[in-house]
Amino acid sequence: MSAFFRYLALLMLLPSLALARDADALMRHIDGLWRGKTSQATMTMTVTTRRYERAMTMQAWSRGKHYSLIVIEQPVKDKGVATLKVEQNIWNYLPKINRVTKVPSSMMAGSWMGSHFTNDDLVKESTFEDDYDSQITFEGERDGQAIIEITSIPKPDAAVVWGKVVMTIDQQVLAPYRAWYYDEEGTLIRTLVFDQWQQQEDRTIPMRLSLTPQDKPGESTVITYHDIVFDIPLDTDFFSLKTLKRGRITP
Amino acid sequence: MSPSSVQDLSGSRLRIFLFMAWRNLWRYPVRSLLTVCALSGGLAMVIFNASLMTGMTRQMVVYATEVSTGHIQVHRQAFADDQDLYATLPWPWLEAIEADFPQLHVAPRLYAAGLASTTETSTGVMIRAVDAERERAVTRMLGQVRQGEVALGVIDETEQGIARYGVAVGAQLARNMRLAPGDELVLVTQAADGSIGNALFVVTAVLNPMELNFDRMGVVMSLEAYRQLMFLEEGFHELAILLDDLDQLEAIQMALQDKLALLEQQTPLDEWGGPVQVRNWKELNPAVSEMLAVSNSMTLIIGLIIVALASLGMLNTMLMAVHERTREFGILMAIGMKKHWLLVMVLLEALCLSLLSAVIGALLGSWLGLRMEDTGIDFSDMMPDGYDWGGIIFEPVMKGWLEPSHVLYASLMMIVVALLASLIPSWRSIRLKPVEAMR
Amino acid sequence: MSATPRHGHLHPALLMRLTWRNLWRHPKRTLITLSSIGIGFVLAVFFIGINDGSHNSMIRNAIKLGEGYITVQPVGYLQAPANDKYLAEGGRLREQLLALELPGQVDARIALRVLVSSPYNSVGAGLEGMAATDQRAQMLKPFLMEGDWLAADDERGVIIGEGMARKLKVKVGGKIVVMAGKRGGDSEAQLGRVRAIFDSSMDELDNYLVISNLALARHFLVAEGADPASEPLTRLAVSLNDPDSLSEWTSRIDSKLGSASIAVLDWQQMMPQLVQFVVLDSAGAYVFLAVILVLIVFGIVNTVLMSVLERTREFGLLRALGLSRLHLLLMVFMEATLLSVLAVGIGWTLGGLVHLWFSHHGLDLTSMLGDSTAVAGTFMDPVVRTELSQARVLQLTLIVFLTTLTTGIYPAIKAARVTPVAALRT
Repeated sequence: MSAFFRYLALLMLLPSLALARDADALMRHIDGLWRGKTSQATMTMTVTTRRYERAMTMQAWSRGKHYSLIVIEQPVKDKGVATLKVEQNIWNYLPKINRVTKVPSSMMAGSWMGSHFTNDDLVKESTFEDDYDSQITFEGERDGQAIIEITSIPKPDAAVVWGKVVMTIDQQVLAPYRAWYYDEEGTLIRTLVFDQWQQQEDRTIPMRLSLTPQDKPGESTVITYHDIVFDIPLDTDFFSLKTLKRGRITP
Repeated sequence: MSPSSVQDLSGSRLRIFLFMAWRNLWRYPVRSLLTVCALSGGLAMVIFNASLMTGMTRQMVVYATEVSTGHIQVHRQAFADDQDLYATLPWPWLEAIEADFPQLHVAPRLYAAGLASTTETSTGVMIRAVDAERERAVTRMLGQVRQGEVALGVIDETEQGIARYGVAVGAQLARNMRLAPGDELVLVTQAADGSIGNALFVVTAVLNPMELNFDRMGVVMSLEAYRQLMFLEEGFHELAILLDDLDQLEAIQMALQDKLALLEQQTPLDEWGGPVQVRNWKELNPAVSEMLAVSNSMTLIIGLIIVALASLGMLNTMLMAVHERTREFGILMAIGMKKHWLLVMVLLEALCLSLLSAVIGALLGSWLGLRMEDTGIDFSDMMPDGYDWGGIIFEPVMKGWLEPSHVLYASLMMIVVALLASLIPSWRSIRLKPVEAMR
Repeated sequence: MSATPRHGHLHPALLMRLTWRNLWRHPKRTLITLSSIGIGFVLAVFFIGINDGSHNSMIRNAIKLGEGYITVQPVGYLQAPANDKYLAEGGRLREQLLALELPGQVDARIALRVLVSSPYNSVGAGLEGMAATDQRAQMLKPFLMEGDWLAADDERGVIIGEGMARKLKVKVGGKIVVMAGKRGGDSEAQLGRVRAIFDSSMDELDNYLVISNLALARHFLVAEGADPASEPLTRLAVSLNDPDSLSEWTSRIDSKLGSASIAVLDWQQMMPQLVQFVVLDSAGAYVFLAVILVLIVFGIVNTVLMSVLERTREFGLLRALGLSRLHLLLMVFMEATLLSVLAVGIGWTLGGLVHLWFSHHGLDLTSMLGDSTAVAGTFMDPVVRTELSQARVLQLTLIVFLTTLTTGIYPAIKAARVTPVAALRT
């Protein structure tokens, strides 16, 4: 049965509830794509602003939604700078001065490592499902691709700034194409493009994410994964200030 | 009588009347002296009040300029509007301006937003980098020390050999982060090349409140420390300029504008930073300059009222003088004195009185004003941190300032108002009928 | 002077009659003096009234916009405000305050430093949780440009200033995310719906203040570990109907609620910059008082001294008839006193009428002051009503009487110096 018929059948039975559940499941799937139980990845982040273009290569570890650690390897100037996230807290380790600083809540809206992502993006993505009601709003062919379009509206009391997040996913492999972030009046604020898909074990993962803010033409942040492995042994102990301060970070 | 002799005569008559008026005044020396006292006392009050108000406004100007703003500031528009880190003015321009305007004191400044951390707490701060030597010639910012001693060079090195530069911080920031001289401060920012700027600093001084924002978030460092933290080489964000002669403010502002336009022709700037803006302190602090305008008109209004009150004393005296001399005027008229000469005589009496009062009042008022200039009134017990107005923090000491032109204007104002007040009794004097008056 | 007794004794009633008559021997002179003092007095009453009225309106506005006449808050908050300093037992403290039955209002408030974000921007802000009946809410209501004040049961609604709305690019109906750091380092975020936007033309409010009901702000205290059942607050603001009872109530509240962790502060401690501003500005009132003084002194001395000088013969005669120096002195002195009683009477009658008119209708100062009525964190009402406190009435009256008494002495002494021989000279 094609997705379309499944969609239609569900629509006739228990429309909103069933659809919503389906969309939630899809969003959960997308959310966990790069994560697994645990993960280790090497990636390059290229930030293009009208002033400079800068590429950073980094290693990232994660465990579940709440623990992640990112260490910069390139360029030499920032080598060893690490960001630790445990639940809603973010710390930076700065090897040059050998100090750990905590990012206070007042800086959460600030840029993360000079990119177009905010510190808050790092914290917030872990609660997507708690904060949004998602629905499938389109299913079919668009621009030659068979897609599912999921529209996520923040729950009435959810503390998120967006008014709407729309994501398109491939019907077959359930990997994302694009995500659009709107404000409540329906103005597009930023676009996230996913490409360079790669088969990784049981899933298809876009290896490149490009974020373009709408109000700054020509600027973007592109994250390219070089390799990513899942379900390696990683303790919660690893995600600690102790690891940060150790300098050389290995699991 | 020939026409020429009339003129001759009226000249000598005026002299005679002046003499008569003067003599009449001293017929009742006590009364005249009392009137002089009332008028001169009033005038002294006006001058004293004006000196207080001028002192206050001057102090405001000083605080709005010499403490941290300077008289003129030069920015790129994008910096003025959005604190755009990259909206800089090229370093060679600094020397070019210094060479062309040797009479000005100029100080370049750089700014950045950053995250300051101690072991216990972290908070967002505003970094301001200054050239200590030039800054001291332009503003008193680095002299406003509450605690410690400003030192912005390398203070020491950590065990790993990392140099720690000195910084001065705002008082409220120090309070919030519990900073005292000697404490370490970590600053993390996004450097101009996108890298993570981070460095260790030592707090060497806590600065007195000068501007609200700076007090809450300000960290002052040297240009060198800023360069190592921010990797911003191209230029500076702000040029603060101090004039020795404030009267030239507009002229200098224009000349600077021309010079900068010329420089821009020689080395075009990038378009994102926007045009170069030259603004004077009034444009930078509209709240304060509005306040100054209001207090100037208040000084005038209060002055007028006081003089008017004092002139009631004049009215009193002249009315009595005319009233008491009704008989005398009647006789004068009966023996052929023209009415308008009577009017002139009474007015001359008033003029003598007010001139005398003006001299005494001006002297007394100037003395009071000068005393206020020396000692002032100190409110620092009540308000050690001063008070703020339009974001600028003022010191709690009120000082007078005697403006010679104010003394002159106040005296003229008093003479005019007093003469106006004496018009009523003078008018009465000429409406008398000789026969009635002699009764 | 047929009524003069032989033995140099002057009956008080007679003295009064004599004085009265003497005053009206030159009715025009007396009237001129009286009217000039009277007019001066009226002007002084008017300007001091305007001065006091504008100061008091600024103080009242500052107190209403600020933290009340008396503030109950955690010790140390004033020195270093922090979100983790709160009154855990807010409900109980409020009950205790209410039990005092003080004449005024008790407002429960939660003030926090937060970060407010929209898709476009984020800014640091002060979140102020309060009830719609709050004094501060009453002050801000007239400034609403758009939208209505929060309903009592509105758990999401916020009201922001025009400056913040512009920076965040939000409109009425839009949403903002309010975030506050917690002591442990976590943060707590809550959604706020903008129900209204105000424009007070005070930048520090328009750019910084976020108002909500207590319920929304309380989430942040609960996140800090407070027990919602005991109604945590950050402060209680007490407004008093009678500002003169400030010190009395401050000490009463302090003895009841004050402790090692709870501070009871009055508005002068909370807003020292305002106290100073008023002191600086009051200088003007004292200059007026000084001018009035000068005027009265010279007006009275002028009149009384004139009449003394004119009556040298008469005084000599009186002395020759056996009136003692003391009584002569007393008589002239009484003239000065009576003159001043009349002057003050006329002054207060006219000044009182002027005051009544302007305290009712007010004086519109907007044209003169423009937008710059916002000063030191408060503002002046555009229409200033004159105010006269009892203390001022007493002060003005005393000043006039005391100066009259002192200035009346000189002519009186001069009169008493007259020897009977003087009567014989021309």
